[in-house]
Amino acid sequence: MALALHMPTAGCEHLNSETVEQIRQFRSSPTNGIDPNFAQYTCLQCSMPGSFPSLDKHFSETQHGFAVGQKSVYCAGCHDLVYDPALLGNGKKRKLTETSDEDDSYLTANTAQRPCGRSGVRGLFNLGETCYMNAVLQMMVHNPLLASYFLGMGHPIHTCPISKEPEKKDDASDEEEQASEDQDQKKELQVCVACGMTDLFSDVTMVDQPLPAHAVNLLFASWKNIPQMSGKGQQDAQEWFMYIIDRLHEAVAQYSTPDQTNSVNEANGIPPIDKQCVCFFHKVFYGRYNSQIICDTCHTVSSREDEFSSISLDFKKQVKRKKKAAKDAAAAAASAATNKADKPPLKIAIPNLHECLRSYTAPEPLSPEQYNCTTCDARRSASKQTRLRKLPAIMCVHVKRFGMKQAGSGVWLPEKYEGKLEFPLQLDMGPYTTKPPSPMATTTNGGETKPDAYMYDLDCVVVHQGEHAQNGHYFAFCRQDNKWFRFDDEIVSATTTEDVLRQEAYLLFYSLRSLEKV
Amino acid sequence: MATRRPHGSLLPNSVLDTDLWKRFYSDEEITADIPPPVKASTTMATSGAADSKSSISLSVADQEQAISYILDQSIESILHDILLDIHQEEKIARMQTAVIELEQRPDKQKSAHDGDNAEDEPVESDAAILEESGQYQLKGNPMKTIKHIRCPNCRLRRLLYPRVGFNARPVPDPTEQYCKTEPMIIIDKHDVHGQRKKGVKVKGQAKGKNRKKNDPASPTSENSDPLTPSSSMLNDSFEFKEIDYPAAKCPNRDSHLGDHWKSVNVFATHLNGSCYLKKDRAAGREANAKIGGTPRDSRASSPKAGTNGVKRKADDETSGGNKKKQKLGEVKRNDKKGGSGPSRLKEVNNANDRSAASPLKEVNGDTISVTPTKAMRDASSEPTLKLKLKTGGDATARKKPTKMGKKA
Repeated sequence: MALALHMPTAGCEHLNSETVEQIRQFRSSPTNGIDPNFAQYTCLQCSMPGSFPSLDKHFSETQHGFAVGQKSVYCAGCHDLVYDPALLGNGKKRKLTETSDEDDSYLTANTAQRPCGRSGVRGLFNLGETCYMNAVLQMMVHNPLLASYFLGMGHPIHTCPISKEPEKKDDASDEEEQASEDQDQKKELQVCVACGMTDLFSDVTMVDQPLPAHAVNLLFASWKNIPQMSGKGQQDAQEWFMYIIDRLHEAVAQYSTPDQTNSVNEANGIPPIDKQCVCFFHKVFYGRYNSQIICDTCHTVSSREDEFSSISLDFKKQVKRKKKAAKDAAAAAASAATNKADKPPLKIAIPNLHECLRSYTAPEPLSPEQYNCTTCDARRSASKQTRLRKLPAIMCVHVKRFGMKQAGSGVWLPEKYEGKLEFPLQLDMGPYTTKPPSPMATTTNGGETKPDAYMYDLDCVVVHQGEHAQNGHYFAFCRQDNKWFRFDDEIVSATTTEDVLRQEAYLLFYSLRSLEKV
Repeated sequence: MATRRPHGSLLPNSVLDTDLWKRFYSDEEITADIPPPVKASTTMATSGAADSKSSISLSVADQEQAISYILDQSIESILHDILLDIHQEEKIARMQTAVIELEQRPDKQKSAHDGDNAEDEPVESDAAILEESGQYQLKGNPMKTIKHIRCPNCRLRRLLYPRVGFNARPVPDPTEQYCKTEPMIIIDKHDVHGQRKKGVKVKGQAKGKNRKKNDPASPTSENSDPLTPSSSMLNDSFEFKEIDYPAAKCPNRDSHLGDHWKSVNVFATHLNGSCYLKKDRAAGREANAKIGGTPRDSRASSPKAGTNGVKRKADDETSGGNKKKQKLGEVKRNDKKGGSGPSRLKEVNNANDRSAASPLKEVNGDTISVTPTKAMRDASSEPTLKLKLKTGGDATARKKPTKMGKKA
């Protein structure tokens, strides 16, 4: 929308709509010779590839005009890359946006111009130990999908049935005087989290103010709706995230019985789902995993499926495994290097996200004490495997950094596991699903499986600072137009991608890449 | 492997697409169920892949050549993508500027010519031309024809470098008004607007700020830059504001008559207390006593805390210079005592008391206060109130360990 404003009709004086069409066709033709993995430019007329100087030479000889790359166009007349408005839009389908020009003119005539300012960098005031909330909220505020929902009238606050209740109460009490007290209390309890969230989104996006925003209404709604987390005090960000999206879903819940999935499930021995929420938040935040237990004796498969809002990874186990592997490697290296009198190479074991996910989805053995096979009707050893069946649009990866440790006296004490976990900027969840793409699948039947279907991009990193499990400070790193910022309550500061990747992440939020093609 | 993608094509979040969620919600494919696992999924289909791979054999020289080709191409592509992003952003901004400058032209021409003949002249600048069809067409390369970048929204010139901090440059023309979308400011302990958290003192800038205060002629807004030419110190013309805590309306309106406003930094405390959860001071004290965190009669013993009194007296007697030195090290401890100490001391030295009061605020402002246990947490909300009221000295005595706990 903003891109279309004040743009010249063409990318340069040499480009016209015919050439643009030609370029489009050239790009979509399978024999254009452009390798999608590399940056290459080929002449539009004769498909001659080359560097800019060689293309310039070619153009002066042949009077050809343009060279086409995968994402850009080189113009011989300008000796420069040109960006035509018609070619920039990524070919997005704007079915609903491009309704009519009438609407647009009506909107511009009746709305105030959006003031300029540094956008997307509003801090959030700490309301008194609410950094757990602020960190998660910054993630939500910076997510284009959620922003679209809350600012695009996804939740109509003026007609919200939950928030309206108190107003109704006044009318009702006039009519029926003896409004019972417990009914009053029931009404009082209803404060809508989605309304609080909408409130916050509209507040945060006001760019003309350098002052931070505050989430007072949301905090109150959160306390009312999540009684176990109410009260001033430090809380776990992941726990709050789980509760808040659950409450958001409750605010707009819609249930239906999925037909398609059930028939597939029954064929595979998975108990059918009788009630499934189809609300927006379910679609955004909830995935489903499938866990199979296969009896070692009779090989009976028992399957069950559960919803998840975050994938919890066992960080401690992974660190241990990594350390052991490093020790073995070091020992092996040391024994090999003794003759050469070299120092064994110091390997620092940093687990990475892929290893964690692999161990999350790997089969794990169950001892006979843990499993009772119904077919054999006896306790059997078995293997259990959890894999992802349905992936959410916004995926929360939770690195378990808090646990309990038994002290010498036998008392269990909370403990925090510190240390780095390597995480990628882009994450392909394909291998961790119930149908991992085989290495051949992408080449042989590319029509059926989309290579990018389960590709995720890192959106936000929430970090817990402090050595203790019981206290500390949360701050978040969020991406605003491909630049990373650190959101530490009120203070928002610019940072680099390298710095983000260096963090000891506690929560990682990835969002589905195919969203941009919707 | 993931396909190559420049960051520029990621979903931007500065442009709001209000229908994205509807499209997402109606898209049934996007988060569709993945087919359930095949019952005998243990066998791996590796044989086929191995066959096809083994059929190709490369000599060492060929492999070397292939590797160096791929490496070259990859590095080239990575550099290309980075540069393309920047070039595209810059050029599009300039293309828009060309149009904006031309769009503003007709008004100027009409006012100048004051007649019909203005319409006959083609509306054009060095960079663009308005065609008869009403469309704007570029002339030449905007990278060469356009000197400044204008904001497509407010049509004011954009600042290309921040006013202060990392990568700062003097404002090109201090008399001109610039678009408010300025580059992000990067200074330690400051946010992107050049503001800092309330109570955070920064060595270099504290000085600059004081100078600012002494100079009454200087404007407070950062936009109306002072007309005085910027000297060697860039910081002189920039005011580092402190973020002040605004008040917010309490959403728990049932418990109050009319609106109730509270400073945002104590909001959780406010809701926690008499307003909503009723976990007020008395309740906190009772709970504390129950679990044996702080004895109920702890207040009785606090005035006797001899060490406090002695230290305070010593402070009062020392000269100003000496005190400042001490401040660096023991600011919080001493000043807190000053603030919440017995009123007798306040009378002794008024000025000293005032100086002691401001770091006190700093303590209050530090809302990310971290307490070791839940029991202490309840206790910590209590002293915050007490410090403000400057009552009993035990507040400091109890507050101290919690603060220490944070640092530990």
